[in-house]
Amino acid sequence: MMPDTTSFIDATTTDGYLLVLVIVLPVLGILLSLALGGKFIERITLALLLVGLCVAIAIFAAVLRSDQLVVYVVGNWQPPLGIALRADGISAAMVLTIAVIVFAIGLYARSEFGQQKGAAVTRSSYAFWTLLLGIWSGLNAVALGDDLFNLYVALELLTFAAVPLVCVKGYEATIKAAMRYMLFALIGSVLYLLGTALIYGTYGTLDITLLADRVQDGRLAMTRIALKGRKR
Amino acid sequence: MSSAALFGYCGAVLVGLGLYGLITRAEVLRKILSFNVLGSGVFLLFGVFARRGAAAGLGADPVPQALVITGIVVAFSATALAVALLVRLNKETGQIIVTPDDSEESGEQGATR
Repeated sequence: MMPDTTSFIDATTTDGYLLVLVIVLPVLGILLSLALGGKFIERITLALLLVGLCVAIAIFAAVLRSDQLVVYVVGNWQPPLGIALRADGISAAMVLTIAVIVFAIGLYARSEFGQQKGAAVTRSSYAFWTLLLGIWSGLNAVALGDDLFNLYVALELLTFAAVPLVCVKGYEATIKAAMRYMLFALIGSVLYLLGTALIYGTYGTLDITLLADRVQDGRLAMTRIALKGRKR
Repeated sequence: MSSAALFGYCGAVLVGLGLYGLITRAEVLRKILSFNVLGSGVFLLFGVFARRGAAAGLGADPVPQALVITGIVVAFSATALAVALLVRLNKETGQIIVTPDDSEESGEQGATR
């Protein structure tokens, strides 16, 4: 199926870089903590959480003020071939909610995983702060992704960060819980991928906004109901 | 039957086999292997859609092939993480299946095998 480029052309809006920032900031923190070998990891994480909260508020304000989507077209490759990040009202609200909750978790976890001054970082606290940043990045990517396959990758990133976080303490019960979670996540992710394959085979695009236009009545009409909720 | 249809049916059979294994087998390692069979079926279906979407003189649509490569990497990482978790579970509890929490006391379910 040839890409239909006439439908509409996306453009990165002026504040579109905020969407990239909110996904990349946590990754930056993970890289920094790996490079520094766990020194200052708690302080880096808390600082990034604060900055991320500000970015999330900025995204929310941008969507609220302009009553339009905030769009970032990655590498300026237009969908359906390229991938776009889009924030509509609900995405922006989700990003803000995620930022508030993760920030609160970070503050609360200081008592358990905080570093003593001058003491070497323990293995569990190193894992906790790194994985907290990982889960935050994954959640943001899920909320902002506008491409079905991009969503699949984001969901997997989320799983890979969340499963070790479940068993970060290493007790028997937590390992069993993590194993159970992992199995459900495996089944869910591969079935999601199957659905992605079927949708791509039928409509020839993975971009959610384009899909919402292309999906006509028929076998996948229910999908249309799910997708049409997005505002253009 | 065209070759694309034949591969499509093969993919469907693999998906069915994988799902059957995932549901009926209790052992975690078998579940992980079933997940890989199921994943292979899905990747094969991506290949079929690539072949069906051939246009503009190309033998196949390149987009699903790019997706398959990414999917294989993700499935590989997921398998590695799941196996590592299983090894740890086996070290801690000596079990190869995930037992329900409420039967831990009685020990009748999921005895060490």
